[in-house]
Amino acid sequence: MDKDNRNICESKIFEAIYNAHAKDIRRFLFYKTQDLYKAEDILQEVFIKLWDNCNKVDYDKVKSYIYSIANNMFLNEVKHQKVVQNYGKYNKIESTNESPEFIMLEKEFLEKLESTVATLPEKQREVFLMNRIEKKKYKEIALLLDISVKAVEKRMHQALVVMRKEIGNV
Amino acid sequence: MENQNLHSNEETFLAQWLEGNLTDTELKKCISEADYNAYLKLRKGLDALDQLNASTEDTFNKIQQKIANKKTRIRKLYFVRWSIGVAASIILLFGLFSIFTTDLIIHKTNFGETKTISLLDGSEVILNSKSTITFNEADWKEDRQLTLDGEAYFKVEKGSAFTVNTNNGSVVVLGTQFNVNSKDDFFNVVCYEGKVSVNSNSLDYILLPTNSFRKINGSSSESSTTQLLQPTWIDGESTFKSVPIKYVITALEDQYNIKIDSELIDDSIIFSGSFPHKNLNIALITVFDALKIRYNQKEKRKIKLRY
Repeated sequence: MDKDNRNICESKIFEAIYNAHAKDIRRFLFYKTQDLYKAEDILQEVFIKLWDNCNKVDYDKVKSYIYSIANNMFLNEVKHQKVVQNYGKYNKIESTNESPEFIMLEKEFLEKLESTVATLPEKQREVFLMNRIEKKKYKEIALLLDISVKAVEKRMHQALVVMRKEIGNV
Repeated sequence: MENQNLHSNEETFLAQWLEGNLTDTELKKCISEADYNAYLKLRKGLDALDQLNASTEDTFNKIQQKIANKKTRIRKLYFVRWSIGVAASIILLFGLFSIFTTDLIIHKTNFGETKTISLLDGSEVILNSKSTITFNEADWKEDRQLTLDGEAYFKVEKGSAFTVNTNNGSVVVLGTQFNVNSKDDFFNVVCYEGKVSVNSNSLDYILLPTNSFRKINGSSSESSTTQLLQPTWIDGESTFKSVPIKYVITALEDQYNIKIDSELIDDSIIFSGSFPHKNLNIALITVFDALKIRYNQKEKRKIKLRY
């Protein structure tokens, strides 16, 4: 790679770095924040900061750079939240940021879920992905696969049962 | 009826629930508490994964927008820098002015007046009548240099070279006492103490105590003249030795603020002697009686000479 390709300040290189790492950073931030909106916000901040420092960051070290920026920004956010919560305490304001039925989505859980989807029996996975990824209604799927809606629903149901088994008790 | 309905959906109710056709509470009735919680988490996890795997393009557009907005802010910053630059240039210009416009100090004496001037380094200058010295106070410490027109007696403190520039040449010393008289084409330097270097017409002359250098009308001579410790004019008397009378007449004019008409006499006669600064009559008598020149004061301050 010649030096020009390594210049992060070049918008094409910057975009390539973004495309290569954005999803992973977002996921990394989601594991930490458990909040997709916060993850999105911090993701933006991370890449804005990378752009600001594009001259100072070595292309070879960009991955570890953006991860540590992401982590630091997450910690700052936590610190800020603590201040907000303390303020709330002292001012006797009931803070109900999180619903009582809050469900923690651990990194391990999500990874397990993903791998389970990948190992579903072919017929189930086909329907499952068409529904989840392509956002198709059961009726549409039935039409496309030339099977009954009931059959689609059965496969969907089975897929969920398999996943429930694979994941075990949570 | 309800049970039957549920039973008929036994193999599909999870699909119904995921699609939103079955509510959470309805699902809760069908399955165990543990299963219910597990399925809730499963659904949430699937939703999260959908979102996590979704395209990040929108976010990238937002980032680019924010960066673009930032750039305008950077431009504002450049404006600040630009104005700082203007301010700095102005300050620089003022600085250059203060360097190049010199703090010229001018001391001037009028008719019959003498003036003692102390310089920054402790040196002393006594100016005789109708004389001017000019020097730069700002760089006096680095460069002791002054310009003289007329006559002055210098007591120079030791230090770097002390230069007296005149129209007739320059005098350089290190620390000494000497007298410089430079009037029109008359140039006379007398050394009283130390060593004086005179440069005139690109020739150097070294004067030791009691030595004097004189240049009249372009021709220079070096001679040992004075036995005095300091020039007589400081004590109120001008002394001349073998000087053409016309320079004595100029000295008289400067001293007493008079006009002397010497058209009728030969103004190159050599004169030796002195005249006092306090009394014009005595001065005229001492100078002109000795040369057998008659004088009369036609009007006030105008004297005509004749044989």
